[in-house]
Amino acid sequence: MIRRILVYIVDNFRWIGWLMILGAVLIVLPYMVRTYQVEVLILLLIDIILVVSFRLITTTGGWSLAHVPMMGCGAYATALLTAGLGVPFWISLPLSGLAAAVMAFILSYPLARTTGFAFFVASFAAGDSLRLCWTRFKTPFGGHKGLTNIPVPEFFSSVDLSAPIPYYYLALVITALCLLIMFRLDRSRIGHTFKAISMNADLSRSLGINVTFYKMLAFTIGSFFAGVAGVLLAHRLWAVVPAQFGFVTTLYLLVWVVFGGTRTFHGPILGVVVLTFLSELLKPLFEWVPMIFGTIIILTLIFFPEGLEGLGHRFTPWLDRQRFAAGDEPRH
Amino acid sequence: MTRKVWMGLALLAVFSLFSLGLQEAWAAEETVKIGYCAPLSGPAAAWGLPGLEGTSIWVDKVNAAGGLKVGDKTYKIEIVKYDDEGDGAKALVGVKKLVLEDKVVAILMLGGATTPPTQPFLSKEKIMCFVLIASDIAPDRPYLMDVTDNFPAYHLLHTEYIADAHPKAKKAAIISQDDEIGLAAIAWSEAGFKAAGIDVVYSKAFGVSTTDFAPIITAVLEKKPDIISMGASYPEFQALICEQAYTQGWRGIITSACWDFGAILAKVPKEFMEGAVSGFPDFDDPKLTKDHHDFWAEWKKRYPDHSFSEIVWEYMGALDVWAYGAQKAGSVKSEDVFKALKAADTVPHSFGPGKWFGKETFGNDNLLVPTWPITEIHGGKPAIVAYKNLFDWLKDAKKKQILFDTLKAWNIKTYQ
Amino acid sequence: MEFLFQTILNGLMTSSFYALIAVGLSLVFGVMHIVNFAHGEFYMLGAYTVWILFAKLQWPFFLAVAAAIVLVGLLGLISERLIFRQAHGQVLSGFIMSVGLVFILQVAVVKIWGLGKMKPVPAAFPEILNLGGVSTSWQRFIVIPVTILLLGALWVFLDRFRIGRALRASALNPDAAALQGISPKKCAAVAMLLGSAMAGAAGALMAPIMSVHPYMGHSVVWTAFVVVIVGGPGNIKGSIYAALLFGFLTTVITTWIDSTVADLVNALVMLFLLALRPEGVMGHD
Repeated sequence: MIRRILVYIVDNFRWIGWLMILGAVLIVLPYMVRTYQVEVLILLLIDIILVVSFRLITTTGGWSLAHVPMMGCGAYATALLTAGLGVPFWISLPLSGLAAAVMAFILSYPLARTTGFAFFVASFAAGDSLRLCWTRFKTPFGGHKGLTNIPVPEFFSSVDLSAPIPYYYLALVITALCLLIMFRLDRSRIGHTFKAISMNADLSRSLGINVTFYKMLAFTIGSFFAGVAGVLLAHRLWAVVPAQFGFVTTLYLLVWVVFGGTRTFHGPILGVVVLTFLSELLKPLFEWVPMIFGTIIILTLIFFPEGLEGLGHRFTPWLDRQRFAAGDEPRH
Repeated sequence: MTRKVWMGLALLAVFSLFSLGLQEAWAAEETVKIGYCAPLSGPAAAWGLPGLEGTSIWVDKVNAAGGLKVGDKTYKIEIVKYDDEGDGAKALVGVKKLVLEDKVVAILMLGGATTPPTQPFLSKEKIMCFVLIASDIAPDRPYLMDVTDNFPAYHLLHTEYIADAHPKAKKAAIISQDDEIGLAAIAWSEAGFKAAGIDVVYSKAFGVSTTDFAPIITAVLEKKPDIISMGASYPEFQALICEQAYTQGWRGIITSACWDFGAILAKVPKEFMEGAVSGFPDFDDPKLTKDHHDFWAEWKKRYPDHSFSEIVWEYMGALDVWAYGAQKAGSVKSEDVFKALKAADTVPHSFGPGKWFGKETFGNDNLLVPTWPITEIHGGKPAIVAYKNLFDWLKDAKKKQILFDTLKAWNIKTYQ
Repeated sequence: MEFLFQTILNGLMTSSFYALIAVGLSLVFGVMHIVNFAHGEFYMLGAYTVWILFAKLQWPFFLAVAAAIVLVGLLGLISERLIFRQAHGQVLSGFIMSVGLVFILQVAVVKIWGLGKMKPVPAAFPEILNLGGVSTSWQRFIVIPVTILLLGALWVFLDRFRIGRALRASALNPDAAALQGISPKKCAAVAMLLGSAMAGAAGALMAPIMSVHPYMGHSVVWTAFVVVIVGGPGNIKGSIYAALLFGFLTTVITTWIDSTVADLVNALVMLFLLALRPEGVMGHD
């Protein structure tokens, strides 16, 4: 047994080695940056869960515009559970994710019957109706001013999770856990089925795959994780307002994902990390920021149509040529 | 070909980025810093960007005079900006940066959605926060104050004025957008009309994305009101509401928290708006002081093409109050300035000496209330026709009870 | 009774606004499958053109509208060349690039013409039109005939003209069309020119009856997409039905309850219509 593990580690050393280095960097990172930048990192972790769960849905071929409202669903659920009913954070976390999943499951009945642009617009309508409910029904959602006084999560009495660095670690652990589950799912039979559907729905159907079921499944699972991201956001801001889950946030989500690319698991993460870093860098330019952002998006997509993840593929032939020049065999 | 065009554009962008970055890089020597955390880009920027015009005029004036004398020291003032895009998460990052990195001693904010996430931190750090929305004041937000805009309290004064000036008007309709600001405006206006003995025949909020007001006005006119109050409708709604009321044949008294006059008069004749009531004079109004007129002239000189609104001066008004507090305290430390301000019997507000108010309605006496001007539109321009004081209004116990009952009916928390 | 007639008139006006906004998009998106999210910003620029030429420089109204049509059409042509053509047929990349264009245009307008108050655009035809007790302004009423005219022109163009048929062929099967000597690039350019020109026309005509500000495109672009998709992409008759349906739903529910509920009902109706008829209300042609 031990030998098998050792062999596995040696075989996959490059992979695991890089992951361990990344983990080490992420653990010391909050001590290397300014306090206010820790807040940026926390929000970035939340956004990472959001983009990866979004990609999970896109693997079946549907681009959901309801994903940000689904995050809102998780945020509102935890606000109602913890601030309203006094449920502890640790129970509310999975429950609120589940609430988003249940809402997604209900909405996926009509949504799974649409494809392509109709899905795009229908998912927008679904998300928008949620947002309109939060503004219209003052009880229990509080209308435009939302819900406040969401408690700080409790974790032994010695750890103060209202401080940025402990909360960063909380978000880091939950993000890592979510990514691990979604990564396993992506590589599992279910994940392959999702991709088969996006490649050719009719062929999948003829092979006996229940396309509608798998689409609903992807939408529900993706929304569960969006809900978890919403919980993390709500307990950091101590408040939820409907404006937070508006269409501009959705636009940014789409930009992150397309910027990074959706073919690989790491593509969207790359996109959100690079663009968040960029917008922090550009922050002092205020009203110019959207314009510069827009220009960067257009330029990137013109020169790297597959997004940032396509960079690697462009790089490989070049590397091969170098190796060839050095007398090595090209490796893949 | 196209790629070359894009390359050129990219180079241009990089170049402009650099030159802008350099502009921001300079720093002054003996300075006190004040944070400005408001929406500066995106759709909400109309609530933050114009305010920078007023504050920059104020800062330039103070610094040109050598600085602000506090105790035995003289400070130059620097405004440190942060764009929160009207978003709670970005605002939290912003206030932390401003307080921990830039060491600002006070922060100017819009208020609303950005208040709940930022207040726990700002209260802990005891940093004063000046907002434009009085309903953000709360018992657990001791250092949050509103020292300029008396919204929504001044709706009580407007309605009282209308009842006095137009005794025949008996029925009022109130509409405003369905958000925190609009709902507060509806509730306070309704209380004001009821207390003045005017029936409120229609009071309802419309969605913030409304662009077609024909059906709303049709529903309003069905109730045959003599007065239409636009509550605190945003500029993008005002002209459309007036236009519909006019085309559907209604004539009567219009009132609103503020005006987007240029756009309104483009759509309806001057006569239709004659006598409309509000509470924000232009700063060239002959009844105002020389300070106001000087500011107006300077602002006109700097921004000849821009339109004037209360946002232009309200952030700046908070700077006036802060400076008064700092000079009184003999220190720029946030807590000292706060204590000095709260200890003062009257504090100079832009419209005259103001007193602290708010314990019963907001849970904390952190709203600065002066005697507020009432304006009427004459010949297409607002003119001050009266001054009214909120404390006088509240002396009548019966009226006060109507206010609290109405706020309760609209689900607005009070602390009576 | 007057109340009822006024509501019907209101509903007709709203429907014609929806159809007018959607008409350009139904060519660009419905026929050519270019997801131009900057359609709303093109509409906004049309309105700004009228503000500058008609309201500030006192040009005759229809001359200003014509200028808006030409200017915004050219802008569409340029953006096809610089942006959508670079997407190489990848619809999603094109969409995201057009989001970039939205940001660029909004900031440009804010930087040039400022922010805050609305741009005042007077009505060119301020006279009140009274139809037996119910009333609207001529400025609003004029939208109905113009919309009918534009929709009719689009239908004739696509159905009767060689180039219009070429556009449809190219959208249906670019490779086969290319073999017939129809250049897909040229088709996309023509579609963007005409579609953007119509967005400019919509903005120009609506400028006197809407609030003109840098973000005015935000609220209309979804309406346009909804009308086009629910009507069935490329189906002009379907778009008219969709515009009428949502126009009357909005008007009646807003009068009766409030506009947030109207939006909510619209969204739910849209969701279920799309689930029941994914190809549009009309189904397949």
